[in-house]
Amino acid sequence: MDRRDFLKSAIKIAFSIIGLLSVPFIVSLRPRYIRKKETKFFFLTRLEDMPRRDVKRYDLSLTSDKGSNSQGKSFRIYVVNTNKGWIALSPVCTHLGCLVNYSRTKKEFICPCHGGRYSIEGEVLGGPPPQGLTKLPLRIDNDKVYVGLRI
Amino acid sequence: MRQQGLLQWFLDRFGLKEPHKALFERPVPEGLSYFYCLGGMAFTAFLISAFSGLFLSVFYVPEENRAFQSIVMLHEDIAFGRLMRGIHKWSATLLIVFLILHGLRVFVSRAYRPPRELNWLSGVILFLLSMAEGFTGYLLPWDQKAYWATVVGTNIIGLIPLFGDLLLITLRGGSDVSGATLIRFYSLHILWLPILMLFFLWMHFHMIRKLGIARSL
Repeated sequence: MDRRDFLKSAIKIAFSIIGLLSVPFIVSLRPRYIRKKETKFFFLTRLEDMPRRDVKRYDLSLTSDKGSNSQGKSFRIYVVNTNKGWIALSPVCTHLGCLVNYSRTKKEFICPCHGGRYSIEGEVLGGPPPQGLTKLPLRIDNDKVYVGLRI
Repeated sequence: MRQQGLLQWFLDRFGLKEPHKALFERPVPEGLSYFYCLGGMAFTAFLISAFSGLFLSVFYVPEENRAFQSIVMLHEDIAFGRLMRGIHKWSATLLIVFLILHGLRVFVSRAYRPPRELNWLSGVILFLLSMAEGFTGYLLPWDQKAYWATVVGTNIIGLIPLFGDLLLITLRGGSDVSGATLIRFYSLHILWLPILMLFFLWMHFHMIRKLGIARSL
C-alpha cells in the first residue's frame, strides 16, 4: 500500500466514523421523557355566574398554577346548560386542534379551519372531526365551580 | 482615481473574475422574456431574508417567557427594528410567491425535461425547504396565532401512519407545543434549513451553469 492509498482509506474510515457518530445524534432528537398529563382542577367561576341557558364562554388564565409550565397560559372553555345540567366543553377541535367558535344563530360549535360542526352538547354534526368535543369534569364546591384540565 | 486603483489591485491579486467567468459570462439563448428572471428574483428574496434574519437573530430570544417580549422590544426600542422585521417578513412572503411563479414558468416552458431533471428535483426540494422555513418562522413570534398555527400544523404531521406519533413528539420536543418546540423551530429556522437550502441552491446553480438556460419554446 503506498501513501496515496493509505491516505484514501484513512479518509474513508474517518468519514465512516463521523457518519456512524451521527446516529446517536439523530436518536438524541427524540425527547426522552414525556411529562404525564394529569387532571388538575382550576377555579372557573362562581355558581351564580354559570349560564342560565345556552352556552357561555370562559377565558381562564392560570395564574394560580405556580411552578408548573402551564403557568401564565390561558384556556378557553365553553359551559353549556343542557336540560340535565351543565357540561364543560374543551374548544379544541378533535380534527387538528383549532379552536371552535359557538354560533348563536345556528346553535352549533363551528371550527374555522375545516368546517367541523358540533352540536350544542359537543357531538359531531358534520365535517372532518373523528369524535365529539372533549367534555371536561366540573366540580361544584361552596358556590364555586372548578373545572378539570389535563395539563 | 485612487479607489479605482485600489479596486483594480484587489481584483488583480484576488483573481476573482477569471474563475467565475463561466458563471457570470455565459451565453443566453434568444427569445427570453422577463419570466426567466423569476428564479433570480426568488434568489434575491432569499438573500434579503437571510441578511435581515442575521440582524433579527441578534435581538430575538427563543425562550418561552421572553420570545414575545423580545419582539415587542424589537418593535419599540430598537432603531429600525420594525422595519427590519417587516423586510424579513415581506421578503419571505415574496420568496414563496416568486418560487411558485418560477415553478410555473419552468413547467410552462417545459424546462424540466432531460437533461434538466436534477434541476427540477433540487428546485422542488428548495420549494419544500422554503415552505418549512415559513412554517418554522411562523411560530417564532410566540403569540396566540403562532401557537395555534403550530399546534394545528404539527397535528397534521401526527396523522402520518406508523411514524406519526414519533415524528410529532420529536418535532415538538414533547407532547405539546411548548418552549422546547420554540427552541427546536428556532434551530431549524436559522441553522438546519438555511444550510440545507444553501446546499440545494448550489446544486441548482451548478446545473444551470452546466447546461445553460433552456431554450424557450
